Amino acid sequence: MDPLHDKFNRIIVPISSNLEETIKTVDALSKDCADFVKRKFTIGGKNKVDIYFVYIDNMVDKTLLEEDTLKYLLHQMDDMPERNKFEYIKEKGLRTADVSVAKDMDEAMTFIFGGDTIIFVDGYDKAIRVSVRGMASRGIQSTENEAAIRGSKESFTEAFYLNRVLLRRRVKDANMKMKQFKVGTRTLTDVAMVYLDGVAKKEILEEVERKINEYTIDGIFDSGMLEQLMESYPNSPFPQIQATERPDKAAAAIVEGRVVVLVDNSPTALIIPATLNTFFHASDDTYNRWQVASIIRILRYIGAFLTMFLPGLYIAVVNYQPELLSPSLTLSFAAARQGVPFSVLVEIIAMEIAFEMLLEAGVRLPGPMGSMLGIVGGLVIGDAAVGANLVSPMVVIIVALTAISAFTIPNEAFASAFRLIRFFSIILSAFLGLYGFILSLMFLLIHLAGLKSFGQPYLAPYVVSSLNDRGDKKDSLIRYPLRMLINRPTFAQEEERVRLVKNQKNT
Amino acid sequence: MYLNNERISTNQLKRLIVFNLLSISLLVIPSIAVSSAGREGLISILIALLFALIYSFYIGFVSKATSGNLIKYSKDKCGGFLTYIVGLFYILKYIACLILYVKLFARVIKETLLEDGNIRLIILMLILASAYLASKGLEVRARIAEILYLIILVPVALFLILGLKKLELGNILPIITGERKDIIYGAYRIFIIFTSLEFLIFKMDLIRVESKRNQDKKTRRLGYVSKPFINTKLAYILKALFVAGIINVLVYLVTVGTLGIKDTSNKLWSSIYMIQIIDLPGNFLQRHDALIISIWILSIFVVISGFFYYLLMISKEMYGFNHRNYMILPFIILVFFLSIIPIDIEDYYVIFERYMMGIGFLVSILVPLIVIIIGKIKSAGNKKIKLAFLIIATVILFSLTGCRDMTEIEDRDFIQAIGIDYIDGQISLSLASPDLAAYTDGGPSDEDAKEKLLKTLTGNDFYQLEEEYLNLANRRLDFSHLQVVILGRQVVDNKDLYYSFLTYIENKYEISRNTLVVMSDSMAQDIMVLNSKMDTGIGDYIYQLYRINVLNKGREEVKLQNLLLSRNEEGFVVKLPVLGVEEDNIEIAGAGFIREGRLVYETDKRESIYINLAKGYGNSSRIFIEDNNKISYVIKLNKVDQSIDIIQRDGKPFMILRIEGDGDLEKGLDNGKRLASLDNQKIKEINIECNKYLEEQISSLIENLSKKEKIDFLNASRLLYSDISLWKRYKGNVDKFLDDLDYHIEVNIGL
Repeated sequence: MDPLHDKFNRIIVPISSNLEETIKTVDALSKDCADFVKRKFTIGGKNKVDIYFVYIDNMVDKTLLEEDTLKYLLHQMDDMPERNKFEYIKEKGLRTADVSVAKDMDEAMTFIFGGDTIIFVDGYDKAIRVSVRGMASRGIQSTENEAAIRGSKESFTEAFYLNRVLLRRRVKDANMKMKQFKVGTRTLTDVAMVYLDGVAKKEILEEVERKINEYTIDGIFDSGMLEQLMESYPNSPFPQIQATERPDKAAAAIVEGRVVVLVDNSPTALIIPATLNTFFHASDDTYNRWQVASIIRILRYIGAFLTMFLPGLYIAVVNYQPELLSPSLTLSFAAARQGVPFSVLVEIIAMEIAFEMLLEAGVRLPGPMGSMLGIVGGLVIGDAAVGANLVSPMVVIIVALTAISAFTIPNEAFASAFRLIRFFSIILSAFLGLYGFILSLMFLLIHLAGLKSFGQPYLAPYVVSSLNDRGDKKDSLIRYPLRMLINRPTFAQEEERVRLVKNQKNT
Repeated sequence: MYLNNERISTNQLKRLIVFNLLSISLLVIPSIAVSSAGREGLISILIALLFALIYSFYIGFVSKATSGNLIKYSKDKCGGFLTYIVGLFYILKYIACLILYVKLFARVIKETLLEDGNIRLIILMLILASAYLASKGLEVRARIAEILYLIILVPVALFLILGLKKLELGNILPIITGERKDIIYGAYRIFIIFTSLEFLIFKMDLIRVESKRNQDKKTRRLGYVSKPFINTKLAYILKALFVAGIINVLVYLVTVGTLGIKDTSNKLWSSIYMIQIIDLPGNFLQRHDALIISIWILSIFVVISGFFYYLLMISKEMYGFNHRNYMILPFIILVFFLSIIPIDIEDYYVIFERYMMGIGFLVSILVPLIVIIIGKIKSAGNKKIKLAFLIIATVILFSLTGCRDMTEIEDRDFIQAIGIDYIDGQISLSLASPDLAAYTDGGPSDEDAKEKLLKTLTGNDFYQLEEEYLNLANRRLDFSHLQVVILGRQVVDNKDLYYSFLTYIENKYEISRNTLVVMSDSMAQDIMVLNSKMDTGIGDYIYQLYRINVLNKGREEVKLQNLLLSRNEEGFVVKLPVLGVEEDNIEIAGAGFIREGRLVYETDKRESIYINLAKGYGNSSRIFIEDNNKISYVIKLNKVDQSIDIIQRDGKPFMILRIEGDGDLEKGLDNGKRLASLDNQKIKEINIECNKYLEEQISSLIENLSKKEKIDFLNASRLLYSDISLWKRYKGNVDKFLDDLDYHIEVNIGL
């Protein structure tokens, strides 16, 4: 057992007022850590004191540290008093506003790992934290997975502090709070809960905070891990938390009364709660005209239906209820299938698997090769397979349409759930025809109707529609004109529902 | 934040009640109504709705007195023993209802969607899906109802409204005949279907009333008079009853109006046949009955899950289980095994009705026993039960079927036309299959290959012929795309054979009642052999002939449903088009009248034109006005409207036949003159002459056909409903009606 840490990996050794002992402690903690920079200095004029600088190389802005902090401490501390040296160094010796005190070694090391510089002062059992961070990062880039034609192109980054800035720039309200936590006993990952105080519901805030702290884990490397720990229905393929790369989407969610969770080293923020309706929203829905936005939303819903149910429906109709189709279409299908060695079910499943493999390979391959694979794969699968009479042309069309439809949905995690549902529908339709198709639809509906996201019914606003004066429905399948969206959704507290008011003319 | 508090809103309550009331009533109410009360069936339905209304008030009173939960109240006030008895009564009742619902719906699904399917599998999946929904609780059921409400009701309502166009008023009217005394009994039988209203006495306390702010808003919007009705739970129950009532009345009207009284009462779920007959505009779906039934099926899960839910709830209160979901397993098993007992659904319904009217106690012995067994299984833990259940269900699923009910589309023989002849005392059935090669790049097959697409079978019975086909062919016989039925002359001359054919059609759901029917002027085979000469087959040819030339020329379309109606309704006459073959070409040779299962009269082409006109058909057709066998005028009719009024005059029926419309005079003026160039007097003279000629022709038809041959070709006897005394006098006696009939004809075709 490590004498320096407890079972939760917290450092239990205190900061000693004897600087030599503190130096030994720091040496022990940073043993074999080549990136630690440690140096002892003696500062002061008539009254001297030893200090010990500790930071991690390349996590600090060295220029700022050397010029503003160290240089001043070494050359301008002649008036150091005999007593209260710690306070004197903190108040007079450091020319930066971002200064605080580390009360124990655990806190001090946490600050060091976060990119701050720690100054231990001989004779004191606490340390000074100076924030002169200067970590290399990717910088703010454009979003790759949530492209929008209109609106901001900025994306969250791995740098936690940058992400906070991106939100702060958009919501210049003192009520926007950022409550921070450290999650992960080894990684001590910074997690921030961002919300609009007075607008977000207290129950949701409490629940989010409870969920963040519900598990003790050794490390969190991405918001996806935290998301899985926070969900109430981990066995459901449908995400109950929305993930986004877009700061404008996150900011809009905050203003609606939802909670955004930022995770250090993750370019994806989490938005809570999430309903089925929110997964069909894209940021530029609000920026475009309501007619265009509405048509596109309807297309998304149609796309969702097609991607989940088109193969199953095809099997059900072709094999059990061909009378639904016109005679010429039915006979065309029958003629096209002449000589195909596999049943429709096998065809569909084989093609689906092939397309899924193509998609997955395309994601993993670097840029140009990925797009080439899509073309080659499509040609090979489509044309050659049909020519060899392995599959019928209709199946290729069905599967291609299914794959394309999935990309109409703005949220990738949500769209991924459809892949599973699709196979479920295919199997049931193959066994029981249209009845099986209806069963698959029913099972899906029952599952979705039973889901909740932090207390919010997943199918809202299509259920419990009478609440909020049916206001939530104005931004669902059809997006009403912006002037009519006067209420916040039911995510917000009831007293803060009104968000749009027409100004009276000055008389 | 919405807690899992099992509370539902009044709006959700309304939607749940509508589903509970409609799911089964859509199927069975028309049949029950007419079998009890005949033509007065509509009144029975209205009285049943009144009963339901009174019952709703009673429920309101009971739930108020019991604080919204009957079983809990009984436990608190009456003690455990009495609660046990009460609970058992409801459990028995709901299990009986469950069995009925499951058997009935499974049978309908098998008949309409999964003809070759295993009914046990259908029942099992129905039960599992409903039980899954029930296990999620009342809130989830309510949400499902909320989402599905418009998805189901709007298409069904639109469909029924479209169906009103197909109504034959003679099938429905007169509503009040005074002949049947069973109106109240019929109403009570229908009211039993609404038994699910009773659920409210168990859960009224869980219905959440709207906030005062919303109530005030609504009152301001609708007026203060509405205040007592707006937000009470009773108001929503009444709204639900109103919606269910409207839909039930519509279903009754459309079912009886299209199928007739006799056909409706033949089968418990006769309304599904009505779905086949109604056409959807746009022709984008060939047969929409599967689609409409699939949409309707969504609602049955809600109602079946309701029974499961309340069984769970009652048993939880009775036995004091902490987690009620355990109890769902014995109920699933019990209902499944009881549902698969081989008893015909119609027989079961008789028993069920008797039980519902009396008291049944068969199941009360079994349920506690199963509860004890489940109590032992309960100690294994919730997850193990779920896992065991999932494994059992999957094994059953895969063992009951291996996709063997599924026939690939290319393995089906889609028969496009059938020809029926009667040769040497045997039925000769010709089946025309499509040329699939015509739908590929290769183009149609040659004539020799096409000859093989026509199969001829002989036998004594249609089912025997089907068996013979199965022995010969390597594909599955599929009538779902049948385009036309051609009856040979001998068939329509043989009443027994004709009726036998209609019975076969009636029992074969796969054959749409909307299939066209024609008659051959000799043998059906003479027309069927032309299949090899048509690119897309004889069935498609005749179908297109009808669609493009016949229908657009304003001639009547005759379908299988018309033949069935003529068999079931006394005196109903059907006019079948007669096709002839002239040098390998098919032409419409005239028409044949079928009455009481026999061909009673045949007309030629010329006579057919005037018969069509008299019946109100003839848009876009041409009328040739003759004088001494010379055509003096040719009129192209643009629009024809016909109306028949039958009144009583001197105690006898007097018919006023009016034909109005307009047309173009295409031939008849000298030297290229145009009608507009003539003066008004001359135009009037020509108009009068043409109209008078038409009146004479129609009058001659009535005299020859109706009076002399006793063929009510106008089906005027079915219009007597406007005068109840006339209707009673001539009911079942069409000949006497035709004898006594006097008439007046007015033709007013404006040129």
